[in-house]
Amino acid sequence: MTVAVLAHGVGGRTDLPLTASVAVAGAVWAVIASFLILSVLWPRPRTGRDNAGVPLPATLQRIVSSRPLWEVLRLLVLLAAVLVTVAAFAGPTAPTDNLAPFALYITFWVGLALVSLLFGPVWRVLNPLRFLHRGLAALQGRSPDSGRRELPAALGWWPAAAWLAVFVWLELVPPFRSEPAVVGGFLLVYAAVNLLAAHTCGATWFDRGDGFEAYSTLIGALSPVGHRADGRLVLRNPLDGATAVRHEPGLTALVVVLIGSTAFDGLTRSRFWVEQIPADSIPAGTLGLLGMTLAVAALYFLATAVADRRTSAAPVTTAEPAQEAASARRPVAAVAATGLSAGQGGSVPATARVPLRASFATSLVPIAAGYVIAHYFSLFLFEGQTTWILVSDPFGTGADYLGSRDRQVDYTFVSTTAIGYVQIGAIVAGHIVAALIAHDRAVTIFGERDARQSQYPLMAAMLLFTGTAVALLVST
Amino acid sequence: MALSGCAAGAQTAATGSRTSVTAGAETTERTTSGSAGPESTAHDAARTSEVFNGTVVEVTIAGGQVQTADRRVIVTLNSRVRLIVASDISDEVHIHGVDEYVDLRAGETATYDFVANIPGTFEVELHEAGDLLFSLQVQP
Repeated sequence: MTVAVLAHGVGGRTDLPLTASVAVAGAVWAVIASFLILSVLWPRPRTGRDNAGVPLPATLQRIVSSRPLWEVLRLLVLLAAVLVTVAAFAGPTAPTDNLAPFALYITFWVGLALVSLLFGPVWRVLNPLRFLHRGLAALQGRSPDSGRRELPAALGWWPAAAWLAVFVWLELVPPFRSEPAVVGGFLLVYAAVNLLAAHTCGATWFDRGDGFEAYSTLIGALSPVGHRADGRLVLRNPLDGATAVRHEPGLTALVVVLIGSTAFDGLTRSRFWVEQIPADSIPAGTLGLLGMTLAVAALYFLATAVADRRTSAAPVTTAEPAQEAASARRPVAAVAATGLSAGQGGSVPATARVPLRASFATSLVPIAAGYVIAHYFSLFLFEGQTTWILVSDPFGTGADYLGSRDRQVDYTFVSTTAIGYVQIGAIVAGHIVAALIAHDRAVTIFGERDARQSQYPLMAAMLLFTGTAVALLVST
Repeated sequence: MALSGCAAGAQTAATGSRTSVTAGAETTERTTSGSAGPESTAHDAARTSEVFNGTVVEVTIAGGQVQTADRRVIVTLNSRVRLIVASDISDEVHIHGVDEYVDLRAGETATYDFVANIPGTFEVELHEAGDLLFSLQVQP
């Protein structure tokens, strides 16, 4: 069966290259902001206080904490997932006519990032697999949280990183990626493996093992809305949310996969790639994806290794925010990983602290989020309409449930200029937030004087990531 | 020497255009935005056209290979594009964006005119075989 190979899974449209003036302006802003952050900013940690954030109105609190509301939403999400999976197998076989590839690669993958950025880690509460797991456990008369085996803490985020690596490979490399049956097959395998793992280890599997949940959790940490330590819903600084992400093994891998895969997506749309590399070559694509991901990892590791060496003589302070010190729920390994001892005054010898690449991994999350928005925003706006057009006739029966069956994608309701601004804005904002988080981590770990030593190499790495993002946007 | 066809008046009015028409000889005529200047200069000689106020893109599909002068064709928004495809296989050309399909029959040359009225970079590909013919970059 021959296959139409389409850009990034589905669509056939990519953005215009960024105009040089916009690109340069963005890069200049990023550089100026970095300089200011390095030289002028707060000397003491500002984030992570227990009372951070402005509580939302009580009515909103009550609505959001309503169990029936979430149960209904979960049911709707489950039904949507089932519809997409069934349509993948029972609907039209042409990739351009089937709802499934659009729903998975655009509406879900990009939509989840946008929704999580706005509202927090929503997939943790909406995940249909958690819902199914609860149902299965109830059928067996067990608690959903119990499992036959304990999930080893040393696994951390690695299973999620592995899942995301598999998904981004599927989304970006093989020529058959938009075949509906392939999409349906992936959904079934994903569900089966995760449900089996949850059956074995309990519902905690989903926290660190479900790739999509990890994706939503990480990006959702940057949301202005979040739960405070006392359980109240607050409007807060994204830096507070990011600080709350505990570092565990595999977190760096997770963020690196996100940045590397999005960068590779940008690379495949560049003139160089389109003109030189055969579009359906799986080895070329796999090598490219692997290469980009490893390059991102190498740059980050190099920067933090240099930072480690520059600060190897620096005392590590424990003036850490109360939130981290007070958390007794964290496993001991994670406490050590932040390089802080719990609640003690004085300093820890530098040799006893964990490498900086562990401590600073969360500062890469905004860069990953910026990359995702910059590369996929227009895809979501334009080709994302196709999901709603196709859902009128999911099984190819000639039906027209939503009346949208004969609509065409409207490519003009947002101008290419506006898209360009969103793209550069996302990259630059991601860079600035990342630099702020890194600054706060640095002053948390080191205290003011030595914090700067750790920041220079990391800032250089971030500028390179941002510069690469801008270059990719200019070269499409 | 005489200008044939319908677009005589419009040729000289377009800014940045290069027009040279000689009746009966192979000539090139391409109206593009200034930013595409260097490429159109390099590839003008490869193009043939009648008098057509727009961009002409020629593609040849032979023996499983796609041959075309430019893999990235840059045009201005709302300009006209003429696609000329000579193919040794039967297939369909799908032009994304305007979402048009052009039938190809083995051994025949298909010509299709359209207006590039949507900004963005769009793939023009063979629907069955999946090969990318070229990308059409429509600049506002």
